Amino acid sequence: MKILELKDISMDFIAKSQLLEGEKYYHVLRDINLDIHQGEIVVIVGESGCGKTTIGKIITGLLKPTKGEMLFLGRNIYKGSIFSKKKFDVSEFSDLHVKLNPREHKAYLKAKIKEKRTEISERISDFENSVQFVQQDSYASLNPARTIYQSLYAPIKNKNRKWNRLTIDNKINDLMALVGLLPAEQFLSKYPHQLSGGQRQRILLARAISLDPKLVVADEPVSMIDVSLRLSILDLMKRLNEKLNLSFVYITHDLSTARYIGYKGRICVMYLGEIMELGSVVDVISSPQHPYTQALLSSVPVPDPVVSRKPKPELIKSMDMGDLMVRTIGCPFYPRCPYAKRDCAEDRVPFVSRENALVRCKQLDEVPSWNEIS
Amino acid sequence: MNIVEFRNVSIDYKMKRYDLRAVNQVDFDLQKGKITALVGESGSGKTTFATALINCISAPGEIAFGSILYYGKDKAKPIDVTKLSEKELNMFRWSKVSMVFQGAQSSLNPVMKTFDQFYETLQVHRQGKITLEEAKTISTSCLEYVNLDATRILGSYPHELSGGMKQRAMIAFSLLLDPEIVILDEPTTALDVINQDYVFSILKRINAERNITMLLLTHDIAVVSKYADFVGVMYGGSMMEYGDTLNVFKYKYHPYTEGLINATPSLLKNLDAMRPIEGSPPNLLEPIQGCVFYPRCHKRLPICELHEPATYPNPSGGSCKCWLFENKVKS
Ligand SMILES: Nc1ncnc2c1ncn2[C@@H]1O[C@H](COP(=O)(O)OP(=O)(O)OP(=O)(O)O)[C@@H](O)[C@H]1O
Ligand SMILES: Nc1ncnc2c1ncn2[C@@H]1O[C@H](COP(=O)(O)OP(=O)(O)OP(=O)(O)O)[C@@H](O)[C@H]1O
Ligand code: SF4
Ligand SMILES: [Mg+2]
Ligand SMILES: [Mg+2]
Repeated sequence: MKILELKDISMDFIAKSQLLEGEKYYHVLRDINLDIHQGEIVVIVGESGCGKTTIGKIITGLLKPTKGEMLFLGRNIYKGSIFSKKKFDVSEFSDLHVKLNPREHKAYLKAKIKEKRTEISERISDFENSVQFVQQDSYASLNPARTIYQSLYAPIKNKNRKWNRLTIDNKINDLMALVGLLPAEQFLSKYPHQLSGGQRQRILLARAISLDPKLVVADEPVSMIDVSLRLSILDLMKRLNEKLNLSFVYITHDLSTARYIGYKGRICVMYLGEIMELGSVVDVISSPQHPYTQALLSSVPVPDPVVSRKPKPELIKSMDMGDLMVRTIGCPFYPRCPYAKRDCAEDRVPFVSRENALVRCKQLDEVPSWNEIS
Repeated sequence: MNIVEFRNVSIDYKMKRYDLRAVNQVDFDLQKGKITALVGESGSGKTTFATALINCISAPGEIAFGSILYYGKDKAKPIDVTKLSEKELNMFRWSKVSMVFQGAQSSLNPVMKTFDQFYETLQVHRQGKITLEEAKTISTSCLEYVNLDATRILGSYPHELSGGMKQRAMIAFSLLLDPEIVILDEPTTALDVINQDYVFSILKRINAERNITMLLLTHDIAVVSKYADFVGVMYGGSMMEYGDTLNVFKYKYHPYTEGLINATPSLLKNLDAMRPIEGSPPNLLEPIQGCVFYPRCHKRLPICELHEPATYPNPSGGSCKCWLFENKVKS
């Protein structure tokens, strides 16, 4: 079952600078198409600035894309102005009842609007509760003046107005056990600064799952955590994924942790706001097809000096990531790609299917296989 | 040949109610012309230890005891850095040992163009005896050395540069006074892998071509495996293991080294072979009696809880601060 579908999503930000004449835009995402299924782990990887966090914000409803549609459980969430609760188009039900007299018509409309409003706000809160965001900086995302208990209590109470204190406390204790913070009392009365980075990240995960979401977007959740504790957070996410059939979108620039958490999932490799390669984690990491994926993988250091010191071919031509303000229609990797030919820059590059993956590259026949390179 | 020898160095942060021992009786050598890495997790004492070499520990930190010997180019007798006067230190810093600080990308002055910062530093160290033209020539050659477009960079403010460019500019900055040693504190942590690889290829070249000794501080053991000749593994202020990088990875002598290597996700390793180190890092504010790693160690002995181990040689020429090595090697 598809939980979320991104359809041709693009995101442009206005460039605010006096130096620029007229309106200029940063084209941060372009034509993103991605489905997320129930119980699935999808990893989004790419260099800094390629738009990973922006996608995360769009998926969780924190940002509205400039173009494209997003479907949550098949329903279009930007239609009927889901994010502006008040305004929507009444024309869609007014013409059905032309036979009513004006007063009846008005009353009917009012009732209809109310009904629609309730439906929309239910849809909003259903979406908002069902899709949760866990941000990179665990310290900044917890209120420093509140105890852990208070930080966990508020959102649960908010969603379940009728629950009494005892029910909520039980729920909180279950959550603490689920994320491995026991005995719970020892942590609940503390303030965020009294916990380690790993413990705070567990609290954020507990808070994210406290509203029984269907999808959690985790943006670099372990990059600020000690190496010795990283795997236990990733293990926790894997466990929540299996136990609660919870879908995860794991955002990272670290392919080694991507492989660890997503070994059963899919990976989406991004470059300059566009998807370059999409396939299963195992396939893409063991035999990357796209020249960019190959370049990315070959620069990952492996914690084994015998392997990591072998000389490697140069898989990238220049260090300049392109300009987000100037977008050509062709492949965004074109200026850095060692296999590039003129036509790469000239037309839109379609996805082709290769080795179980979807790859966007015009010169795939020229690109050597990963075995020959590594 | 050693260019620096740390001997029995301890560093305390003097707090109101107690002293926090951030570095605990460390012996450590830097070999001339090599890249030596200090690897350890957050709070293990890497920055504190390395800044002692330029006597620049952040307040209220102080060297409690120990000596740091620097063997200069022409001097047969070493200098003890801990005994230098403030004036001597100012000459020593940057011209003998320079440092690229942690989070250096944000340590560039945001309202100064790159050239003005370079010029200012050159003036201070040459006591004003440098012309604008000379400063331009030196800055340009340093920037070109790290593959930056010097004209563009010198005329830019920091916010106009990408993270990777800023990091390379800071490396160029550390080369301005032609030092013998460069300390690099987490030089690529904020960069993605492609930029990281590129910055390190430049560092490797500087190291090889100019014979500059490098001390690299990092939490990333994969980076160490790829780029360092020697490595010291720090935990809770102690130097747990020191040795040639190839041997440290091959034998994983110390239980903490072993744990750290196994906890690092890798693109190649079997997924089942990766596991976290159970427990949490030590709280240096609480008294520690035995080995700092004792609570998390899976090879611990009864003695480890009560007595701190000494540093013993290990079978491949390195050393381990661990009871398991007490009688391993006959000296
Ligand atoms: N509100 C905004 N206004 C203008 N530009 C923005 C805005 N938010 C993001 N950007 C730009 O969009 C691009 C993508 O940013 P994003 O944060 O999504 O990247 P990322 O892939 O998450 O990078 P990182 O790995 O560094 O976190 C960047 O160039 C960024 O400067
Ligand atoms: N100015 C200071 N005042 C008090 N304590 C300090 C100060 N600077 C560091 N410490 C403490 O000293 C210990 C070692 O810190 P240090 O910054 O040297 O570690 P590190 O290995 O560089 O860590 P990181 O990877 O986070 O940079 C830590 O417990 C830290 O909290
Ligand atoms: S001294 Fe004991 S506790 Fe410490 S690392 Fe060695 S075996 Fe483990
Ligand atoms: Mg981001
Ligand atoms: Mg540090």
